[in-house]
Amino acid sequence: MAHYLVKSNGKEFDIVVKKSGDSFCVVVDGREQTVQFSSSGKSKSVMLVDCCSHEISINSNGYDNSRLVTVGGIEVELEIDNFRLAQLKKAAGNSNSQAASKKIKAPMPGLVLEVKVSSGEKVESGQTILVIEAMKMENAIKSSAAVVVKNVAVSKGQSVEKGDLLIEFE
Amino acid sequence: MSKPIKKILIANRGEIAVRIIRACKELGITSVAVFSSADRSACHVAMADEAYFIGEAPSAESYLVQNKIIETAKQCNADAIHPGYGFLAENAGFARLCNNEKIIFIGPKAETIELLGDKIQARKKAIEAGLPVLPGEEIDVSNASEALAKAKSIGFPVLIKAIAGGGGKGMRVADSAENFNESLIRASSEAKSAFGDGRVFIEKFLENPRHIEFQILCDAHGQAVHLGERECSIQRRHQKLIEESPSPVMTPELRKNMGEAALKIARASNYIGAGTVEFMVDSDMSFYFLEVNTRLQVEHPVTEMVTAIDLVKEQIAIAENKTLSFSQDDISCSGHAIECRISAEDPRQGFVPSTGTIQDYRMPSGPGVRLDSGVESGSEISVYYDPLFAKLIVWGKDRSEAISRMKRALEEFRISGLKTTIGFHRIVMENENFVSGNFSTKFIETEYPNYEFETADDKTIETAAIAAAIDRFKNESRINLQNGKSSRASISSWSLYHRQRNMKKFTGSR
Repeated sequence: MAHYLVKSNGKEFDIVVKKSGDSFCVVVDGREQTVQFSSSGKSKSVMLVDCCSHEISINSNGYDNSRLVTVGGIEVELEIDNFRLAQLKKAAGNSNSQAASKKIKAPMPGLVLEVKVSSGEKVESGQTILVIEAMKMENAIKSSAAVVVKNVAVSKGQSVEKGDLLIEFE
Repeated sequence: MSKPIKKILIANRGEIAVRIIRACKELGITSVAVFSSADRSACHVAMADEAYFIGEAPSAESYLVQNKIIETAKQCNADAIHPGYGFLAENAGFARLCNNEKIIFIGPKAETIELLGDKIQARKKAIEAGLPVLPGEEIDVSNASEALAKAKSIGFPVLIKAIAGGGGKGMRVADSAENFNESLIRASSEAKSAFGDGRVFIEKFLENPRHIEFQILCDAHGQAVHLGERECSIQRRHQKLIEESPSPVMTPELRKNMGEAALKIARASNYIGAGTVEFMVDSDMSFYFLEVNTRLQVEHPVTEMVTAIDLVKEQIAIAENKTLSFSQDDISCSGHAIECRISAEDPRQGFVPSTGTIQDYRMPSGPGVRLDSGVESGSEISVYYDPLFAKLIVWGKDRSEAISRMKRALEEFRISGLKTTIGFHRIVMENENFVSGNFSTKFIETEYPNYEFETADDKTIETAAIAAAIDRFKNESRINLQNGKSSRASISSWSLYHRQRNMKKFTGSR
């Protein structure tokens, strides 16, 4: 038996999983459901929840708690943690998930056209931070939260590869 | 006298090269692909009968090098070159070069491409031919006060457009005298960098227009027909995303009037080949000439689905100097077709391009479904070319069946490894205003102003959570077995906690 806390898009699910013969008994927020889960290929699976069919693929990185799950082609990003650990983390005031977004990396290779912020500057959520040209289109990179810029790692006219560090926040 | 074409070099790549190769195969014509260093194992290379390397990945060093393409065509004894769309498709100089080298350019004559490629010339020709146009004028960017006076006499808002333009580049809306000058400068500098020509003109900007275009076919013997319209109003940044035929607002009378207008400009410009006459249609259903695209359009399949006419084969027949095998009265449209452009882009990030390798690629199929695709699993979507890599087209007996079929086909379509527009299209197919046919070119900005495309509903998120929990449970059970332990419960929470923290140090938090 295992007990997890899954978070996605501001929602939390308290999930208990037990093996039950060839299938699983899953209790979600107190509701019990029978789940069959069979994998085909590296990340593809068919999951039957009380006989409702879902095509699933899961991408994860070892112990990292973040997952990209697709359900019938629709992507859902979520975080999964051992339930007791999640409680301990809450008690310890640990906020790993926030730490994760302190850096902005290049979402695609391209050319930095404009840098619109400088270090020490406060930026609002949704504010354009820099503009990258890729595939002949100009793409605005925006802040996802209100933050203070710590370091600007690129300058105007510079070529970047996907995943290169662009900006660090306080 | 018609002269049969036996071998065609396709000066393009991706889905459109594949589309043209398919027509060649059905006609028994030998197909020749050309490729850059980024496309050595691309679909179009694998499918063609012959393939020739033409240069490095950037298109300026391969697909745009006219001499290299001509040289290749001569080397392999190709009778004709099909340019597809983009790249050299609307390059009058290239058409002329083909002509000089006695290679058939599958497209209109160089003079026609030149005339219609210049927005001001095309506008003059349209006025001469009696087509309605929006109030507009060429302006001199260096004379700001005169330009502003012209804009004021037309009345704000005005649209500033590159004379040599296309594809939404060098296009800006100015809604008042205050932002006119800045928009003018930006449009002109964009036009200069995109087309090497900074000239612009201004036109009255319609608030909620529809973009409706007519497919035309004209042979070299004076016969010209139109194949009905395509509704292309679902756009962002002046680039089309969804097209359909017929338009949900079309009436037989309007179709007749617009179709005749399309043929008037075709005749006035001695058009030979397949082409598209684009119009803006105002909310009161009055229509205005926009431009003529002298090539095969991306969205040509929706016309093929409702008319059962293969436009690429017709292009080839016209290039062989054959007469059209049908007249206007022979053309009938049946049912309804919709196309969704599948691009490597992230709609939620304002449609930024997404590059990477396609991992899983499961194509939709079944009744009424057509997929024009230039990729397969393992294909690399690189930064060098257009992010459009496939087009999903469906046919239904009416619009409602076509929408249901599109939803079903989009659901079947699976691509992993990069972000695509599939999720966006699924949302639009559910949008009330799309379903009722009540939309304009403002659709995306009014319905999804911040690109908030919510795909996953509560039930889907819960299902994903269950899947993640089971997946983790299975992995942990496997690890426990390997470690010779029977249950995770024997590891204390604190040791798990520290183990996770240490792992994070190694892998680096994301």
